[in-house]
Amino acid sequence: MNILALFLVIIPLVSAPLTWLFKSGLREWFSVAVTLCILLQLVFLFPAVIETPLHYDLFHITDNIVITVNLDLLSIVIITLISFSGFLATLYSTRYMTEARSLRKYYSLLLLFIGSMNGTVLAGDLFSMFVLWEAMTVAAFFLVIFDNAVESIKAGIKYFVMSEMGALFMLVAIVAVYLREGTADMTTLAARRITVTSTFSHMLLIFFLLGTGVKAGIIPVHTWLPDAHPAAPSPISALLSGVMIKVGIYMMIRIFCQIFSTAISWEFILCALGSASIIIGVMMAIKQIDAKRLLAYHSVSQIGYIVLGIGTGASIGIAGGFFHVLNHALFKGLLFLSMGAVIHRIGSRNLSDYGGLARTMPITFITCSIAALSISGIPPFNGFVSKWMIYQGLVQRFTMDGSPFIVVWLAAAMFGSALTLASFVKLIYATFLTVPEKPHGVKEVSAPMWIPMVIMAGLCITFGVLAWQIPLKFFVLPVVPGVSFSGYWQPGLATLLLIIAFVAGGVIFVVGRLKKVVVSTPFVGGEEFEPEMGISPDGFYSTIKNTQVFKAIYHQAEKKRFDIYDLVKNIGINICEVLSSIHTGVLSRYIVWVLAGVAILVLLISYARF
Amino acid sequence: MEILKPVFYLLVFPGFLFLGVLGLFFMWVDRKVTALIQSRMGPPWYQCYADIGKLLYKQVIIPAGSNRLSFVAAPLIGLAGISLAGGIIWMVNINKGVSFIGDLIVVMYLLVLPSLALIIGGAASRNPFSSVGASREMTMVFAYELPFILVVLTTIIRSKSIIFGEIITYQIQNGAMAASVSGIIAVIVFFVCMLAKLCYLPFDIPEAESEIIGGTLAEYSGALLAIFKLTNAIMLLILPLFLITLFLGGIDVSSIKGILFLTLKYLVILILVILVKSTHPRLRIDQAFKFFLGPITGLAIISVILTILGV
Repeated sequence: MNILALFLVIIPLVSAPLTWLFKSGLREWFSVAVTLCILLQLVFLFPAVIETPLHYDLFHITDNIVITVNLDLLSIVIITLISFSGFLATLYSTRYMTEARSLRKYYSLLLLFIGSMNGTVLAGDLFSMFVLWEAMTVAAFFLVIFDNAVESIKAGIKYFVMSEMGALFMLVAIVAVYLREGTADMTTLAARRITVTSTFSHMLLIFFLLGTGVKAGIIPVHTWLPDAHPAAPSPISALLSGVMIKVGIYMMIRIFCQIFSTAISWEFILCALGSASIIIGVMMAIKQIDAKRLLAYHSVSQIGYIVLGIGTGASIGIAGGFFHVLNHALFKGLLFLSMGAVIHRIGSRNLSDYGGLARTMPITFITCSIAALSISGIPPFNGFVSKWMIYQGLVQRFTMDGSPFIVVWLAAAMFGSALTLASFVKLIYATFLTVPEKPHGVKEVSAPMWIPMVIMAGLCITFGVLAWQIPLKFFVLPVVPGVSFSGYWQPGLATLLLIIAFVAGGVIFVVGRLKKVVVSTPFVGGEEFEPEMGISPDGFYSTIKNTQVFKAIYHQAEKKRFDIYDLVKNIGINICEVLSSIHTGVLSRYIVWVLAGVAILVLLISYARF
Repeated sequence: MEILKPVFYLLVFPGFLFLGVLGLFFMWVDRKVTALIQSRMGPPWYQCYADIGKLLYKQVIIPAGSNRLSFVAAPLIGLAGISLAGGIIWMVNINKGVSFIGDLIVVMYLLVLPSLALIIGGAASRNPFSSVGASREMTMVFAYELPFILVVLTTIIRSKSIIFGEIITYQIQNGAMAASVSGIIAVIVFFVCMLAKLCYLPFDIPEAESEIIGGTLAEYSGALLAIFKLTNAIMLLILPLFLITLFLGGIDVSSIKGILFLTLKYLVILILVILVKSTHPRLRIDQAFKFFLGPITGLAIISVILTILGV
């Protein structure tokens, strides 16, 4: 069993270079086989881990620094998620990535990416976790810049720089934890539960928050996400958004819920960041017309729900947040794959170029609609259940300490849900329902592409309708103990009744002489009907965009006034400009600087001595 | 047999059939009172039923080149959603203390489905007027949802629960939610949002017969239009009942007195809706947007603050 756990990382990492040996055609299926192989291992590992979590030392570097493997319930659920999404994304890639050059590079990077994500979650100590975390960043970086376009490289560098900044903060925090506690083993640390009292430990938590927050895409360090997601190939976007940002959330759960026992003030910070992410993310998404950028902003928004759930500190809120991790991986992965299918066929990411695809790509239309309803939290789909649990967490917190801020978080979360619906209505309208300027002669994507989409759509429904019987029972409630529900929701019965009501309505329709259906051109008051009479995706929310307050904010956002990356970059450039004015090229001035520097050093040294 | 019970609840009483028949009756009340205000005769009592019957008999026209699946499914989604929400609201009031299907949050989400139905239907119609209607409907949802959520939250703040039974029990023990300053403000905000949800003047912007020929409904005809009309009728019944359940002490149907009181409460709300509807002109979409996110949200926030302060 111990070895089997290690194989989760070893198999993809070893297979990654092996893909170079295969011819094209074989290579794709080799990668699919590898990912399937990992998934099959989990079938054996999962029941075993549920009985007894795995935890053992791999080898000792020094007495205190030990590389450990830790496979408890939390990690195995996340690993299942990664492997499952990885498998589907690889299967999808076999048809999606046909035109790109250097496919060898693609598949080896993909396996490396999946392997390093599995490793990050499998690692039992902070040091090996950090090494694999960085491997994940590097693999993701090369996948983002895979098509070598200028835009992609810019996005990739932005992602890399932001991730590395976060990672450096986290490294400092990890070393500090190790020096203070004498161990980096997460299980040992979790048993101790470091209490946050001193300024020092608050600093540590801030550093950890920065490190995990950049990866997870929390406001205000989310700005790499809307650039990197559109740049990457669609299956990679699905993995980035579906699972990689969840690895950030996984570390956040480890640190904030297990290793540190956080104070109320930290719950406040997490809730505030979560709510801000929800609203700002979705408000930015509403105005996008780049399909993948729109989805990327929704990732920011949905991560907000997860962070909010964790921030409630109530068991049901944390469980809801964790459940939302699974759900988000499903519906956001599905959205990226569905829109990927559209992009694959149309060859553009701009919503204005789509239209009327519901007839030509019916499978994509239905899977995309299911995902859109799920992410908007429409009952009985899966997104509703996890959001509902997060709301309960907030209500329970409110009952306990009556903090008025919780009302703000609750209102933000519920309002965010309506805004999400608004944004996806536009997406569905523009892509599938509106009249295209000229008809697209496209057909549905091939089976290896739609099979993953259908599987994910099926799971979106299953996780919603059978929420109590499957996901909550096996994946969520075992991980988060002590959950007490204060709401009431019977998804199975509700679905049954919705279907019955739907059928009853259908009966009315049939009674109303179905045979008499007549097809006729749309009525536009006697004018000649032309496609451009409709509303363009850009104009769908013109009222919102033209309202003064929003207009001003959007205007500033377009100028990147809220982008921390650009802000820091501009500050850096300004400082450099000031410093560069010193470099006059006059030798005598340089000598003065050198002498002044020596004088300062001498002063410092002599001060230190006495 | 156990499984058939909820099906009966949903389809016959207090669900679909009951809601539909009663809703259409109040739709007639609405038309009659409006007529009286405008010094007209108004239709006879069976007019709304006759309308539905006539529509069922008429042929269905589907716009060429539209997506049939979405076009036909859209009205059904709305009807299914509102029937379920209506069923829940009735059941929790009839069997006090017993939850049925879901809680307050479930109903809040189900109440979005009729709007979603209008939007999908409008988007699928392929008609420019319908797309404008869909866009306006969604903008309206955006506008009224925040104050609506905020005032519903005031009931959660007071009763500290999202279960209907507990909210009703709280009101039985401590008096109606509306019997306080914050409660009155909340009811006012709820009322205005209700007008928008019902798509009634001055907020009938997504339908606006005189400018976008009914918006979403422009392309609908026959049985499908009948389903939309039925959904509207049920909403006219359910939304005031939702208001009564949350703020005015709930529904009591166990005694004649209770039923009389309920009818009285409902009729007062209905008459107010009709009065506002027949005396106000339509707002522009941007005016309505600013109105909801400005003063109405402001009132809702005041109501929430007062509720937290316990006023």
